[in-house]
Amino acid sequence: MDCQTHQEEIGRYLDGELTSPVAASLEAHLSACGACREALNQQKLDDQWFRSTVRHAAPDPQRVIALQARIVGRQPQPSQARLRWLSVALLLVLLGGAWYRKGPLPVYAAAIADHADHGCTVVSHVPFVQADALQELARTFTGSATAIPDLSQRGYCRVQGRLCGLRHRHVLHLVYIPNDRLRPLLSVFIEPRDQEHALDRAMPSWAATAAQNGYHLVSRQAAQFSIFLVSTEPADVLQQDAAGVTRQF
Amino acid sequence: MVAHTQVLLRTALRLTRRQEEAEDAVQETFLRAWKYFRGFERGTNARAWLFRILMNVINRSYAGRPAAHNFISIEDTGLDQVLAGPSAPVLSTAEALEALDRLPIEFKPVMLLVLVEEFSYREAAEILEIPIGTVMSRLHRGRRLLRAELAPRTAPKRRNGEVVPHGE
Repeated sequence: MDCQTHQEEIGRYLDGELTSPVAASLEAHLSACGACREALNQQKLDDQWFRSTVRHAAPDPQRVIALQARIVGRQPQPSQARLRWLSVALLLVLLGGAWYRKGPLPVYAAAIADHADHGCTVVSHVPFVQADALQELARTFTGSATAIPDLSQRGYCRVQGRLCGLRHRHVLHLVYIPNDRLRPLLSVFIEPRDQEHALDRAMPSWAATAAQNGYHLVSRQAAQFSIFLVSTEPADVLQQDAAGVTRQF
Repeated sequence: MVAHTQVLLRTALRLTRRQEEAEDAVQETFLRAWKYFRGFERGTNARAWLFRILMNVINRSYAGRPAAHNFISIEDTGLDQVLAGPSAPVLSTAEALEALDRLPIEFKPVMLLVLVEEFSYREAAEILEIPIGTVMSRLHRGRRLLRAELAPRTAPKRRNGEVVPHGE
């Protein structure tokens, strides 16, 4: 077996992935071949360098602690998970259960998903879309891109969106993610104003459910849309967010 | 599970190269881990399971990213003219991280899992959902590319016969 073949085994040898007979054969060759011994030592140094560089560039411990706090804070507690599940069940009963779509669904429609984890007891039949598809979502929903308000001035850095089925209507649901990750999420529901008023009709039951889970609700009317905000933010902050959303319609 | 935060985060940082996106990916990983905990087989490798979730999160979130810089070919680096004798690279922290970031994205997950997190080839294959042969070939090629990247910057740096880790 030539040096090139043995040198290709060096990485696996250092990783402990060679079988015993192959490792023994390589070791026998290394004892007699200086070039391959140098290749082995160089690979060992490179691996140590790579390992130490990545580990040395470890993240700021304070940020790790803050991240762990956010993760633990979002861990569902058994009692809260049960309460949310009961809330979903109650809402389904109140709204009559079956969802009906009006017209063909967008191409990203998928199975029903329960999104009670961010305080919105709405069963949706589409998944969240990525940020770059939001404009397409807005145009599909409203015919223009103006249905996605910019709340960056209110400290929100990202938005995800989807279409919800609600009382035989499509309602645009946007989730805003704050810059300060210790702040809660903000959910905004947007419905074109017409005779349906699905959000207005859902609000009393949503208000009861939300109050049980510590959420606040604010509704606003813009020229062509009904807007509905849900968050665990304090009510006065949510009012400011609502004003920010409404100004952009 | 939260005790794994730091190791997950350092891997996510090297793959996303952005602090906030790495933190988002780790947070999403734990959220999914709690959500799908019933699918975890007790007694199996929890650490590998978490890394598998992390890789899926990153692949889904950043699949559309522009590719990393095109890496120069090994032949163009004059690899055959590397100084005789093994030597450790000497780089500043920024240069070292830039060298890592220039590795093509397809090789980094395997190198991070095997060389840094010390998973076996089989564990890495399961985490990344690729054949074990692909793990071996990507690791082999990634190491060669790293050597080519470091070759112009090597100089002896040892202390008591041992390589001095970067940064010390």
